[in-house]
Amino acid sequence: MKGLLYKDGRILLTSFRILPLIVLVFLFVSVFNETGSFWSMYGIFMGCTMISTLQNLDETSRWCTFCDTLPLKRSDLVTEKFILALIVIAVSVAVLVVLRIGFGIFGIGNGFRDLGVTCISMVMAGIVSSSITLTTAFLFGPQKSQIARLVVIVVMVGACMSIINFAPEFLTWLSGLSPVILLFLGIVIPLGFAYLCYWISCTGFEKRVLA
Amino acid sequence: MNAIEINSLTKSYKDFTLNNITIALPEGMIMGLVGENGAGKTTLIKALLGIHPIDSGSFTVLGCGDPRHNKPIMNDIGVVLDGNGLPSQLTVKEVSRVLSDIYSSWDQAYFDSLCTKLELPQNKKCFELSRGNGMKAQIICALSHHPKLLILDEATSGLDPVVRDEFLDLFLEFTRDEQHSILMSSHIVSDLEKACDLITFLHKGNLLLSEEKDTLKDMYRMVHCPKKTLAEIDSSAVIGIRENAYGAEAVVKKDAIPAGMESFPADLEELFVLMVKGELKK
Repeated sequence: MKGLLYKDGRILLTSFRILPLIVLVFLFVSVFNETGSFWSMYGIFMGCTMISTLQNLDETSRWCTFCDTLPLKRSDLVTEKFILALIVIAVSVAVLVVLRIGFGIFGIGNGFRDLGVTCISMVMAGIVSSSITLTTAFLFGPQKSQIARLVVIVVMVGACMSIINFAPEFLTWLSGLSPVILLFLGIVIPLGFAYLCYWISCTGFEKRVLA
Repeated sequence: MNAIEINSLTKSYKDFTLNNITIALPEGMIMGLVGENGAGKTTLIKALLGIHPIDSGSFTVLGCGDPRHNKPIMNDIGVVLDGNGLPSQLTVKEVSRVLSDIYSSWDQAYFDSLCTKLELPQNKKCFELSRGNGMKAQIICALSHHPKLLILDEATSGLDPVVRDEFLDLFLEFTRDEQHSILMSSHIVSDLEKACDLITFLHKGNLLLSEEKDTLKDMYRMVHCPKKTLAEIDSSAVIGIRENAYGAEAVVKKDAIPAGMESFPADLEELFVLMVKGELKK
């Protein structure tokens, strides 16, 4: 597992460094913008897109076939991608928190305003969108799942924009919820959804390779 | 013990069937798989690795019937498949770092020494490697965890004769340990002739023969003679004939050659080509 994570980490940091940079820019913009939540959400969606790019690359370089000759289970490849998605989400949220607090200390940017809700929304959106894109890619192959990926991004970004523009009271309502309910809604339920997607991915990937 | 044992293995696709294959590769030996394109060599290798499930029959690899789901067994197998599957965006050095985390017995010093010996640049990304160097990288990766069994699918194709020769020496050195075995498929029959102890001919998914190389060369001879003279030989002993303007060349069972008729040792390539042509006529 460590080796697989190292592989994808190296590729992201050496060959596709523009993608993490774009995520960083979105998170940076979200610190200063009035609609900071939207930009941080967009950042997390871009982060999840990075994983799909890596899946594409694996397919074109026949990495999955090569892995069949290594002491690895096919489910190890699925597990690694889901763990990588969680790492990307965690790092993105951590970066946002550091930026917001860092600038907030000097009274610059959005500071602590809605920080908790924003972070939990990022985690929720990140887990749901990456789970859907990863599952479709494992079931149908990265090429065929590109449309699904676009649909997920458009729908989720659209939903976020709609909430921010037309139902800002929803965010206020979220802020008023107790932390336990917030954590349950934002993290526990999405993690359950991710586990379901993981299970479907493991089964579907095995079937697709054997077909 | 046999490193590989295959009994009546059958695998069908829409337009191809690997039919009732029964072969055994004893430990310490090198088996060459010879066959035309589409003969079923890669299918057989992928079936053995559990990449594609078989329809019927059975097999064991290093004593295990399901190597794919047995990590210790997969740790003892080094595989090179046709077509580079190494992560294209990583350097050779980074690939070794990835594999060192995957194989429990990875030997980085041995990997480095093989790269130096075969002049493989470690700081180049895999997509920048030539086909030959890509194959070198795969073979070095397959050897660097000290496997007991090497499975090589067209591993020497794309390499220049000098490097091919170095690899063949490396393979021979590998099987000096009596527990080490190699199953290798290749179109370059001269390589197999040089390195292999056992030869298996596949043709259109069927097993033509699987014999020790020396026995095979002892069993069959080449005969160059006029077409009429060939009629003197029992037709069932004639494996294949190639006719030309000057007469005919035939691979014939040694015992059936009439006394006084001149014959020559048959090399594997001639044997295979004429055997396949003989099969086609049937």
